[in-house]
Amino acid sequence: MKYWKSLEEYNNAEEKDNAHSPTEKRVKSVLKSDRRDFLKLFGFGVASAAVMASCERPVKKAIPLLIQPEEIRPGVSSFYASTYYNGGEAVPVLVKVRDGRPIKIEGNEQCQLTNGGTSAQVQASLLNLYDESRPKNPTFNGVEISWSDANRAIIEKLDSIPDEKDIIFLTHTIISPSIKLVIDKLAKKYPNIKVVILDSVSYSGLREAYREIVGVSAIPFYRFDKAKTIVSFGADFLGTWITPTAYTNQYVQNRKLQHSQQLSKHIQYESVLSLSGSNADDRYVIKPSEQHKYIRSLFNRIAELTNNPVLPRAGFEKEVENTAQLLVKSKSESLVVASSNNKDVQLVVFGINQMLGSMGTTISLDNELKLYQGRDTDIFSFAKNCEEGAVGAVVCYDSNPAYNLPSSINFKELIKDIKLTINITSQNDETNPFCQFVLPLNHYLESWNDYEVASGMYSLSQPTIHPIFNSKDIHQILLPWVGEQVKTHDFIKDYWISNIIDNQALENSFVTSWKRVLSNGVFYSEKKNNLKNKLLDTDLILNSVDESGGELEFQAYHSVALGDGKLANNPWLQELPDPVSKICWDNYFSVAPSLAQKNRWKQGDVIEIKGVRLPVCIQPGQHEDVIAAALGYGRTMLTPDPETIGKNVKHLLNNSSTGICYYASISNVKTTGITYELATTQMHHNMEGRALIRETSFNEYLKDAASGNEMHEIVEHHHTSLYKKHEFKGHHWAMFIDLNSCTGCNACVVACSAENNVPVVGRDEVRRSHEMHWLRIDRYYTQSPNDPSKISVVRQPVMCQHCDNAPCENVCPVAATNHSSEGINQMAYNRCIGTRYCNNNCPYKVRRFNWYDYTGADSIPFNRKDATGMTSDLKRLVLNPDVTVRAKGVIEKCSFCIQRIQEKKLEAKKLASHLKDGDIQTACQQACPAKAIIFGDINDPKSEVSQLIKDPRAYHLLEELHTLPSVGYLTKVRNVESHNSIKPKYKNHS
Amino acid sequence: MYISPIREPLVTGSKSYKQVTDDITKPMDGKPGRLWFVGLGLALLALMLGGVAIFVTVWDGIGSWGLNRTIGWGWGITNFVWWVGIGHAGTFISAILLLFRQKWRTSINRSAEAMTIFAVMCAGLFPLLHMGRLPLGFFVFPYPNTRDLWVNFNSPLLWDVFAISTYFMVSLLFWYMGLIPDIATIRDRLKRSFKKKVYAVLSFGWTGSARHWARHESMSLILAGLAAPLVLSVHSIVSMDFATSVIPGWHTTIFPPYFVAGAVFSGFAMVLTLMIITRKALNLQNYITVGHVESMNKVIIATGSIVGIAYITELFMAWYSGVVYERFAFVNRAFGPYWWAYWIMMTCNVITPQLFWFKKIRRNLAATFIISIFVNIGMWFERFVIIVTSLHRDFLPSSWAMYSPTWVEVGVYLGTFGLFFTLFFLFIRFFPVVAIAEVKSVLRSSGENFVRKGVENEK
Repeated sequence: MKYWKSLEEYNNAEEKDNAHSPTEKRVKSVLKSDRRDFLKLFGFGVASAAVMASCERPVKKAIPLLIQPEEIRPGVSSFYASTYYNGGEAVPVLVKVRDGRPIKIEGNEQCQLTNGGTSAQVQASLLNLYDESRPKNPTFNGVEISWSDANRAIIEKLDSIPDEKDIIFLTHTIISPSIKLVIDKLAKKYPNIKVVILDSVSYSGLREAYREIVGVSAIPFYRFDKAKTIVSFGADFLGTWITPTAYTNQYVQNRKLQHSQQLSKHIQYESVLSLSGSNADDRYVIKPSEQHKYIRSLFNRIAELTNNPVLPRAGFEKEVENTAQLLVKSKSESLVVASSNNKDVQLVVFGINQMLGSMGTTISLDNELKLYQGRDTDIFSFAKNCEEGAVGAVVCYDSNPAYNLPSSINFKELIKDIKLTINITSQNDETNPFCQFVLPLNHYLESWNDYEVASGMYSLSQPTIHPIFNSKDIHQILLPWVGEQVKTHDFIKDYWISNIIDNQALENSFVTSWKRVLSNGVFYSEKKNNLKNKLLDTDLILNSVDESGGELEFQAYHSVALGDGKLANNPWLQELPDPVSKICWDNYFSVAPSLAQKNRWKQGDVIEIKGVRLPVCIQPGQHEDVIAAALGYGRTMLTPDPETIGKNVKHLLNNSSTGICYYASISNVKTTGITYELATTQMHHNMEGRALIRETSFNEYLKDAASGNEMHEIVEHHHTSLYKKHEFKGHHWAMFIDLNSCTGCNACVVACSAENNVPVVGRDEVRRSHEMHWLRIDRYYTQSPNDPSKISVVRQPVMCQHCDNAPCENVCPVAATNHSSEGINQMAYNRCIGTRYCNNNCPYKVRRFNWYDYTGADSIPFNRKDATGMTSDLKRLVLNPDVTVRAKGVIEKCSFCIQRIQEKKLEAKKLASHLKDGDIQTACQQACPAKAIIFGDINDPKSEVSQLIKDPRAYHLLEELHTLPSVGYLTKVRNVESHNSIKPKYKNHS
Repeated sequence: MYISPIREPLVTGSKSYKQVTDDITKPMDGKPGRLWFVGLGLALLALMLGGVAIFVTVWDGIGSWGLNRTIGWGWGITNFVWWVGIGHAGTFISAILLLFRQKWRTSINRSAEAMTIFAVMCAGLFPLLHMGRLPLGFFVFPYPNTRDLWVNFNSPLLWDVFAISTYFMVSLLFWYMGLIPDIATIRDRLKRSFKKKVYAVLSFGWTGSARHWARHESMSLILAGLAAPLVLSVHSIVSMDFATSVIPGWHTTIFPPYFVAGAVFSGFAMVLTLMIITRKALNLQNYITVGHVESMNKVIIATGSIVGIAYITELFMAWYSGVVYERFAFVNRAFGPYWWAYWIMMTCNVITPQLFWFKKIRRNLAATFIISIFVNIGMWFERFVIIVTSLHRDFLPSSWAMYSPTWVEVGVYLGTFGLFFTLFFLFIRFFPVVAIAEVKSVLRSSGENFVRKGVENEK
């Protein structure tokens, strides 16, 4: 039953019962919004969202400098000369500073010792500047205090030490003249101060031998560049021995065949395959305990050949016959070095060199190296003094005794009763917990300093950044103790002007010689050491060592990547594969294949020696009765999570109180049954008869310069194509790598990582073959692994070959990788969608994929994979702003340092001049101590690369594939009698 | 029309038209059985696992897969090629056999086509997921943009994009074309309900008029004409992903025919695997007879032999070329670290299908089922062998590496099974598994009663 007033109402009521209700109607009309309402609401919504969003933001103002500093121009880098010195070798460098932060280290080409070369450690030392685990403030018993409080307390305590008690200044070798002056000043105030040098590596035996001969402790200046025949007994002079960067530079002078027809002969006697050994022409595998016998045998044979008095027979005269003949043949142009840390052995070596007439030619006493001044006996007597309570205070300066003291000395026990213990350090090292005062020391890139590397060869360090933490340089730490307030710069300048240079105006009053030296970074004075060696008295060495070794011997060595372990906190170095074993992130017991077979050990099986458990690495070319491991491990990396990397194998060495010995006989090697996966970047070590690295012998080379490279001509002949060859009208960039001068030292790999922001992925990722290095050094063994003396090693740095007919380019669906008009294979990271097709199709496998978000460049939260703490805010300061940081899921690879090419091209354009050959140096090329990498424009007929491409030794990797690479290689030429390797198979297309 | 009395009937049991409709639509009536729920549940579980694995892949990165600097493609692309291959049977049956007027196709084409579509959906997932930057995957389309960016038409991967999407589209249309009369049949059998409305919409107003049939027939022919070359082109193009590269083991001109034969081979095996179960579960023995199985087995032995010859030709060419890398690649396949994969492939693809030369085995359902599974496994390993063993040891021994999948890759693979079976279970519930109208069209010529009549006439 319905009531209705009108027909309309009746009809409406049909649809809805209370349609006549006025409120319902109103609601309906309100709810119904038309286009205008929508626009109104939409407009209001957007406007309010915009207002809401904008008012929450704090306002940040970028205020330009009122007075722009002359040197700092945003986006333009400046270079400052400085010097890398970390207690080991000293390398003058240039520091690239961009917007106030150092981002790259380059070699200083003014330095005659290194010629602009660097090492992996030098390159990587930059990253330690941005290490969060560095001590940030002075502390006393772990409590932060101010510098002034610390100084007041220290002076008070120093003053209270009675005169009969020593103040020990425990330091690594100080080669800085100005620091020596500071210490002299300290000694004036505190006459009981005693400097004890604790080096991380001991060269005491060598120095003591020269003390015997020239009267003072000295390391002579070796001239590998002048030597025609080099014989090394265990000294890895290309990798770790004394100053490898300089020696590599010297060594390769006689290995380059582009300019001369000279090739030195390098013979290595060693127990473990070292970097030098793997570059040697002849290699003899001996036990470490036999080294001195071999040396004495060599002495005897040479003495017989040169009519000199002989020593008692040592039993290996027959084995060294060839070597003796060769040495005598190239008399006065030969050089014999040995790693032994025994004075008597080094005396015999000196005797050999003397008979060969090397003194004054390949060994110079005019300049003496100031490095490694430590004396083993000093350290043992320091320990004794401590135990006797004769020490009142110990000041450790960057020497980290808790780690570096010989294993027989327990540092903690040693100093527990000492009243004042101070550790001045730039690292969070093992000594910190045991010292009362920890005084943070500047990184070398934050400090003023000066060095005398060899006599008469000076260099300077200058700060390239304001100290990041509350740290000071050593002058500023020590000078207040003697009550002096003087800036380090002024102190060093005053010292230099009064002692080393005469500060005079050069061209004008603004350019003084001090400023010139500072900008050059190095200075050579005419000052000569007038050390004269006396003739060796053979009677002196008659009572020579004659210890017989054990059945199984342990040899400790230093790895090329980590060296003494000072930079163990450095992810770049930890991820650097060892040049011989290709293993990174751990140390290991390396054993010969035959020993492993005998004990049924497989790669990665953990064995135990004297409580030290390490995995086995099966290493061809090693003596069967030797187990070796690298020192410098077992240190704790604090960021991001504390982790101890490797094991310290120092405990396996026995130390007599006369000196430190780097080998020991061992017994009772236990198999634990545990396996541990070592992280390695190369798993296959045989070239499979492929013509990848082409080599020949020197004899054959002299007959035919193209020997070993015969297939190059055939392949070139077959390079026909239906397609028109692309023309490069302007520049056409190319690179050549001389396989004969490349030693495989890895400096280029780190330089590349630093320059190009290459991510560090960590141990687990390397195990999964996810390493990101743009530049890798392939290493292959040739000959049978069963004869350790016969095995030879070839190396080949491989980066993107920038093929002009690139297989990667045509398979990318989105054209993210393409060819530039200058012949460079380019990657457009923004365009890359990550199909990895290019990587599959790259015959060289040089493309690297960002498997995870390694860099933090990804926009997805919480998916970062940064095992090594490289993406912390502080560490990111090391990034090169000229190079894109790649996100997850894109391919990356070598770009020929396109940013450097572009920079130099623009510079030339601004100056309206042409680029000269050598203006552009890629990061790897600049870092190379052997100058084995040459980069340039192949379209420039005067450039070095355009000459090299015509060299009969030149070839391209996998050239038979017709990829037309822009990178070329020069064949390796060994100085051996005949080259008996199998001719490689190379046929590609019938 | 004369039918030889020795021809086996294609529909057994003397069915009438009504019986055909009743038999085939029976699985769609009433509540689904317990087995169906169990099956769907398992499929959904696998799908969920796949979902988790896909999430990890996209969120964390491709690093969650077992790939590395040397092996850029592993399970992902193996599964892609495998699924695409499986899809080929459907198109082959419905398009090529239609053009050749093979009547036996009518009982199996519907489900085979459905399989094609589901398999291509599964396959399509992998090229998407294997991309490092999935959100930017749209870069592969040549869409107009202000940045003047264009795709690289030289890249086989781009050809894939077009080949697969075209294939999917044509297959879907073809399948749906065939479904329309059957959907109308179902619609007409349903009482007034929501379901009926849905089927009414899906049937596009089909009334079964002569005009509709004429259009349907000609459209089917046009689509068959379009799909037939696609059967050959899709896998040819997929094979070019490998054939156009420089990697030894990939760089082979034999790949296109070899891949197509392999695809049909694996597709038929998958159809057999599914049909042998389905005919039993849905009680369709009268429609999918042993004769059908035998016919498919004949296709398997033909394509299997082609594949076998291709394997041997590859080995011969590697030896004959004299190229060190090529020779090594094939020696490494057979005797390298992945020898087992190669010999699984050889056994499953070349040796076991040869058993079908025996009529007894060819007509034995259990044997066929086992061998079809073998072929499925073998064909998966064929793609694994081609992709992984070629990549893991290529030109420079320094970069040689090994590959094994992670749980994520396995999860994604299982997930695609989940997707495939989820769709398949829904398909058998909501659509007729056998093409009703098409079976009816052959009933008068190849039905058992008709064939018997022919025999009687003969007498």
